[in-house]
Amino acid sequence: MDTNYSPQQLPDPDHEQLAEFAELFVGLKQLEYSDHPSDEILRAYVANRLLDGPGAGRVGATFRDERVFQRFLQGQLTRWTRSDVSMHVLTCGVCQHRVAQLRASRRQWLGLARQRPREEPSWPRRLALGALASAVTAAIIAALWLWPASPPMSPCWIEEQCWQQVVQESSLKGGIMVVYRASPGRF
Amino acid sequence: MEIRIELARLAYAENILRCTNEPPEMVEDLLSLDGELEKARRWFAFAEAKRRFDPNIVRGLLVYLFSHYASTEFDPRKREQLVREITEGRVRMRELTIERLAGTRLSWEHIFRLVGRQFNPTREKEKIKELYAQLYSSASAPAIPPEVSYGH
Repeated sequence: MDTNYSPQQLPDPDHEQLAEFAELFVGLKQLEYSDHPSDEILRAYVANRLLDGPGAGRVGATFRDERVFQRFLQGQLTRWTRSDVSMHVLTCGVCQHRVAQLRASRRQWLGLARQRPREEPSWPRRLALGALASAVTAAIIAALWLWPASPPMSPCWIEEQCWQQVVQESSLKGGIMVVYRASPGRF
Repeated sequence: MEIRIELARLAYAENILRCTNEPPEMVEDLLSLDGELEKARRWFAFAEAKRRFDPNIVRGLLVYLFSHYASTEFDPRKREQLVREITEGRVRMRELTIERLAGTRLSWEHIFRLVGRQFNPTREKEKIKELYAQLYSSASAPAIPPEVSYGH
C-alpha cells in the first residue's frame, strides 16, 4: 500500500476530526476519591516507570483479575498500574495538580542536565589516564606471557615421598634401579 | 458506578494504545456491566482493527482521539511540552496515556511523526467503522429470522 501522500491528499487539520467518536468520552467528570496514589507512584508515573502489569507480556493487570477490577471500580487500589494512575489523575483535581508540579520540576532538572556541557578532562588528566591504561594493559600482557613459564606448584611437600625406588635384578644387565612416581606432577 | 465503568472502558482503550490490552472477548462482560455494550464494542473494534490492519496507524488514530476528546479543556502548556517531545523524538506511543494526551489537541502532523509515517486518517477511520459494522451488525440482528417457512 502506498503510504506517501501529497499535501492535497492529506487532511487539513480541521477537516478530519473523528468527531463521531467523541461520544465515547461523554460522561467523564471529576470524582471524589478516598485513596490517592502516593508521591512515589506519581513520580514513577511521570517518569514512565510505571507498568501496566507484571510479567513478560505486560498485559494490563486491571482486567485480569475480577477482584482487582472490583477494586478499580471502587477506587481503592492496593497496587497501581499505569492505567490506574492515568484514569485516577484524569478524574482527580488534587492529583492533576500534583502531576503538573512533578512534570514541571522534572522538566526543569532535565533541561538543566541538557544545558550543562559535558566536562572535558584536562590534558594532564588525560595523560595520567592514558599512562594508567597503558600500565594496566602491559601488566596484563606480561602476566599472560609469563603464565605458561611459571614453575608449577610442587604436588607434594618435601617431607612426603613422591617417588619410589625399586632395584630390579636382571641376569643380563645386573641391577637396574627403577623410579616410580607415587603422585602426579613434575619432579 | 456508571462513571467507573466508563473509566474502565477508557483504561482498556489506553491499553490498546500501548498494546497491553486483553483480547476483547476476555473483557466484554466486565466492560459492559453498566449495559453500555455498544460503547465497549466501539473500543473492541479498535482492538480488532489493530490485529487486522497496521497497528501503528490504529494507535495513531487513538492518540488523535484522546488528545482531542478526552478533555474539553485545552491545555496549551501540556501541548507545548508534548509537541516538543514528539518533535525531538523523545516520546513513543507505548509511553503515552490518556491523561497525558488529554487537552493537547495534537495535529495530524504530530500523529504522523509519532507513527513514523503518513497515512490517510479518513480512509483509516472508515476502515474501522466498516470493521465495527462487520463485527457487530450481525450480533445485534436476531440469529433466526422471525418467520421461517420450512416448506411443508
